[in-house]
Amino acid sequence: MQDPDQQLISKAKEGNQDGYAKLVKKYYEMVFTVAYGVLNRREDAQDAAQEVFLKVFNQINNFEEKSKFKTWLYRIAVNDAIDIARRRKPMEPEEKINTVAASLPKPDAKVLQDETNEMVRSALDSLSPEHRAILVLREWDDLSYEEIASMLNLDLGTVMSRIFYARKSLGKILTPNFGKRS
Amino acid sequence: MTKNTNREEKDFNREIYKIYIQNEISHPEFVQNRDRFIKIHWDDKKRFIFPAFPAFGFSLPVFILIALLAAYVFRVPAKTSKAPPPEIGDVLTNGVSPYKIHENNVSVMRVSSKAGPTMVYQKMYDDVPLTIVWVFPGEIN
Repeated sequence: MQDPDQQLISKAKEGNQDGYAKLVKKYYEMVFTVAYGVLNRREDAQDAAQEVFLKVFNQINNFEEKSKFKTWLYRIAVNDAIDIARRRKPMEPEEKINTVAASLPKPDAKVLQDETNEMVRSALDSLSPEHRAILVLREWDDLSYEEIASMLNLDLGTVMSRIFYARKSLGKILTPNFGKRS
Repeated sequence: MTKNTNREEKDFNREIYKIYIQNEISHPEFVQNRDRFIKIHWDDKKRFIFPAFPAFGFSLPVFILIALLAAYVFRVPAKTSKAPPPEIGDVLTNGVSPYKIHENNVSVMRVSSKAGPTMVYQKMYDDVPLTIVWVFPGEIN
């Protein structure tokens, strides 16, 4: 099947800056969300996404076009994000970072949203980068188990058991909290 | 019943997770950061002063550089407009030249003149000589 990005890729390979800029604009959200899903911090995800685009730009001539550009980019993004997460120092608890911000009065809806975000963030922090990667690919990007297995070089059984474990861990924290609220 | 509850829970948690990710990409800084990143690394326009004529944008700095070099080499400006026009006899009275360069049918000579130091540039175009004479009035050799 023809890659919808074929023209832009050819331009980028010829060194056309505008061609690559269009690819970055098109896929920035996808790469960022994968990085954010794995790294679970905005600044880290932003750095990782930008590193991925710079790396891909420098290696664009190595792209053999055996798969779609989107798949190739996805694979690089998710694997790089996992590598960064493994190298990263242990994070400070969010409570410490947000002490000052938390003390300021906020509207109810904002408080609720912040609380929910914190809860999801800490639930995700309890997972490994590999589990978070599978979760974002499955729950956000709607990829099939087969696609995830191919992207991460895992067998299907491992993907299924990891997604099961990740959902269960998330549910352990989210369900009781939201259950109390409703 | 339990199966349905589990499914509802799963769907509910999935929705919460999606909202968590969505909040991040809806953040106003998200698009700003993306556009800034693209502009820094891949914006063709920033590379040229004249986006519609990139070649001109490139040639202008080169032209300025050459002009600066020329200004440096010929530090004494030729005040041709203020000096009285020298007579031919005055300018090339003395054939003695302190230096002379011959290359590719081009000769550059420095000659003496009553009007001041004088440079003569000659190039042969199909046996038709092109001659340019610079006079630097007021400066006596």
